[in-house]
Formats: sequence, C-alpha cells, structure tokens
Amino acid sequence: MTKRTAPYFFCLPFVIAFAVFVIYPMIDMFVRSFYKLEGISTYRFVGLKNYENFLSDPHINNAIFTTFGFTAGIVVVNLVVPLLLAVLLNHKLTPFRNIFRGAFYIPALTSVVVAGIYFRLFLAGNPDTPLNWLVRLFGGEAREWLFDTKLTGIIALVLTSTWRWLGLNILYFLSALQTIPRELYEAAQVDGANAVQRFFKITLPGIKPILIFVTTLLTYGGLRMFGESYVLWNGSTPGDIGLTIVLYIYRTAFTHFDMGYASAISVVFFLFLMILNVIYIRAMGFLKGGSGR
Amino acid sequence: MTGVRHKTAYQISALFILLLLAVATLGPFVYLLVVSFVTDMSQVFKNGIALKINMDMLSLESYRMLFAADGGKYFFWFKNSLIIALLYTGISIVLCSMVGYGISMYDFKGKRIIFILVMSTMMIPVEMLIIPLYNIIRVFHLTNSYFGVVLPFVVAPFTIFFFMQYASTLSKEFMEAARIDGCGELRIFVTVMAPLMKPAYAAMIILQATHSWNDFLWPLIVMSKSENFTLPVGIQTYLSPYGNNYNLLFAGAVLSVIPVVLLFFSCQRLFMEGIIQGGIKG
Repeated sequence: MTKRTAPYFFCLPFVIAFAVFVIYPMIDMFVRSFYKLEGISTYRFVGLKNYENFLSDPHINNAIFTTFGFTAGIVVVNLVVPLLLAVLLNHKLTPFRNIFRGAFYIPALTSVVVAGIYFRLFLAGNPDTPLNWLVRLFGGEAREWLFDTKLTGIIALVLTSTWRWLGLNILYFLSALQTIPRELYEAAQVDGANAVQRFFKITLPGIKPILIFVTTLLTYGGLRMFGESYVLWNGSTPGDIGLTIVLYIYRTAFTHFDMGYASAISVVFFLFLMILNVIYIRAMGFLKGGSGR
Repeated sequence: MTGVRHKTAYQISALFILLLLAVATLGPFVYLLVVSFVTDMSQVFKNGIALKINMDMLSLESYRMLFAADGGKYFFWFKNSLIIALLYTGISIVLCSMVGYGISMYDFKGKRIIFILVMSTMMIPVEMLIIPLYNIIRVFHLTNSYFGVVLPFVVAPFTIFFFMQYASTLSKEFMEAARIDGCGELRIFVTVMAPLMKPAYAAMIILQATHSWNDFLWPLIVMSKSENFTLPVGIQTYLSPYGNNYNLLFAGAVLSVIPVVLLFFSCQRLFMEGIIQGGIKG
C-alpha cells in the first residue's frame, strides 16, 4: 500500500457503510412510500395516496407541535445551563471541580429506560412530588405533568432529556473554554471589565465554534426524539401528548404495520431535514476545508 | 481584605449551586437504589416519589424475584447486552479511527466529498431509516442476531469526526520519519499514530460502549424474541400494559447501570482528557 492508495483503504469502511446503510435505505424508503403493505409482505402500488393521507392526518400536526416545541426547549435549556455550569467548573477558585464534573456526567451513562422509570414517578400527579411541591411553593397547582396538556408533556420531555444530556454538553463547553488564553481575561480585568462583560466579550466569542456544534447536535437530537417519549408514555399517548414525529413513524410502521405511510412521513421529514442540513453546513463555513483547523 | 472575602463568597455560592444541581442529577440513582429494596411495591405505586421509607419496608425480595423470573431471563439480557456492547465498541473504534485518521492525515482526490458525506450523515437522524434498515436486516436473515443490532450503525459518523479532529492535532513528521525507516502505511497507523491517539480511543470507547449498552430503538426492532432482548428492551417490558411489575423494574434497572458506571470510573481521567483536551474545537 503506497502513500497514494492508503487514504482510500482507510476510508473504505465509511464508503461501504454509507452505500449499504444510508444511500440504499434512502432509495428504498422513497420507493416504498408509493406502496401499501398488504398482508405480510405483499406491496401494492398506490401512487400518491400515502402523501394525500399525510395532509389530512390530525396526528401529524400534534407530532410536529410536540417535536418542534421540544426542540426549541431542549436547545435553549441545554445551551444555557451547561454553559453556565462549565464556566463555573472552569473557574480556578471553584471547589471540588473534578468531583462535580464526574457527578454531572453519571446520568449520561444510563439508558433512557432507566430515566423513564424515575421520571414517570417524578412527573406524577401526587401533590407531594418535589416538582409539584416546588410549583405549589410558587402558588401554582399540582398537576399530572405527563397527562395534563401538550405543553406540560413537552416540559416533561425536556426535563427528562436534560437529565441525561447535561453532562456531555458540559464537557464540550469545558473543552472549548480551555482553549481561551487566560491572558485575555487578565488583560480585560486590568482594563476594568466586570465578570458579565468578560463573559459576553471574551467567553462567548471564544467558544463560538463549539456553540454552533452543540446547537447542531441539540437541534438534531431534538428533532429525532424517540426514546424519552416512548418510555414516558409507554406507547399510548392520550390526546397525542408527548407524541413526536419519530415515535409516530415508529408506531405507524411497527404497531399498525402501515409501512408505506410510515415511509411517506419519513420522506417528507427527511426532505425538511436536508434543507436544514444545507443551511447548517453553510452556517458552519469554518468546518469546510477538511481537518477543521 | 475585600479580595479574600470576595473569594470566599464566590466559593460558597458556587458550591451551593453545584451541590443543588448534583442533588438533582444524582437523586434519581439514590431513589432507584433505595426503592429497589422495598418489598411492597404497591406503596411505591400509590405514593410514587413522595414515598416515606422506613427500614422495615426493605428487603432483598426484588432481587430474588429478578433472579427467579422466567428462569433467569434477566441474565440472558445481561449477556446479550455485554456481547453487543463488546462487538459494537470494538469494531466501531477500529473502523472509525481508521476513517478519521485517513481523512485527516492524507491529501487525496475525493477527500472533500468524503468529509462532506461524513458531516451530512452525522446530521441525518438514523431513526428515519429504521424501516428500510429493518428490511435489509430481514433480507440478510439477521433479525434476532447480534450482528443485526451491531452492523448498521457500527461506522458512526460522530466517532469518525472525533477521531478526525484528534488526528489533526498530531504531527505528520512522525509519519515521515516512519516512512524513511521503511514502514508501510498501515504499519505507521497501527504502531506509530494510533498509540498517539490513546485519549481519543479512551473517550470513544466509553461513549460507544455506553451508547450501545443503552441503545433502545434499534434492538427493540431487531430483537423480537424475549430471550434475545438487550437490557433496556427487556427492562422496559416490565412496564407492561398489564400492570407494572415494579419489583423487577427497579431491581433490573439498578443492576443494569452498574457495568457502565464501573467502566466510566475505571477510565474517567483518560475519558475527560480525551474529550476536553483533544476533542471538538471546531
């Protein structure tokens, strides 16, 4: 193997996997969206019927509402909270920094099923749960968070996901914060800038690449939400509370066995995501050119 | 000395905030652990998280039930999860580090296209492709098999991206020196460059192993026979519509967390180093 052929050898696994597990499935999905599954494995061509169903399906609107509401919530919460914690954990004077770093990461090690078990109880309607206690403390009413309204459903999803996602995002921000030279802060301090000014003038611009990176991960993590929704509502969502797009696709395909319709929803969602991809890749212009730095 | 007082005030408030959040993040583990010893689960069911626990409610009954249920099916799940995690992590870090290294360290025709494809694949939710992927797995008779769970996602774009980033911090002079010594390209990778990426390997072993251990949707689809389930899929069946089996649920959940936590603590330092020092800086 020469210096010229070596890179192709190294990249081969990706090319094969991409062809078999990305390109082929995409074509297959597109073709199948024009068919209807009848019986166990016979498909009948139905033309655009699946796409017509899509336009008049009330579940779709509910799924879109929950998915986008959740995505907005998770992006805001998981940018702000981990960033502030990372700043705190990066500060020389903060005590027990390594212990806290580990502690915040531990939930990321657990499965969504474990999270679901706890949060189903945490979000229950009992007025004495910590959450309802807190709400009542501020004059609110105790509620059954999982079954109240679509909005409380979204809040429930954001809380449950944040528990597991927080730790890794803290680490990403910490990695970026450590690339900012300390001299910058010292110089700013000499010039009389206070902590808030230093945060907005030095910290935020200094970690811009990772901010975009984490925002991207969170956006796609939000749009593809399945696990938390599945375990919190366990397959049945009265009034479509907590029903996300991917959960709806899953249910259409594997509970109602309507593979054709599920493929059609996937195709539409896919097209939307591709448009979003183009926008993101443009925004991340700095990532072009290969090695990243 | 206002400086000192300022410093102490900062430390106390920082500690207060961090402790509060640590209680929120670690609380669920304590709760699950304690409740897994509660014998009478109707109490948990009635009071949920607000349950007041006293010592005489506790016993090892849940764990005894877990070991006995369905002829110890839980241990089949445990074994399946272990094998899948080992296969997935092993194959994944070998292949992904190869690809990431290849893209990062060489200049070649098509480099840009491959880079863009990796980036776009990273942004495609694989969940969208579950239906055709399921069909592929079925055609190859891989349903209910370990490889059916492992293969479709083993070349993971995020992992490739991470290795790419890490490799780009390495000096190409090592490669040149090895070439002058007459090393082949593959040997340069295996014996010279890969060892330099040790923190990246540690970070990715942990991320990929936890990902595989906790993965839910895909094994749920591939594995249809209950003896083939992985832990998350199996435990989730205890939340059945026919009444939740809380004893098995809590004991099963607690035991399922232990292996990854052990793995994490055994290489925590390397992991943090890998992610923080070498990781994504954009």
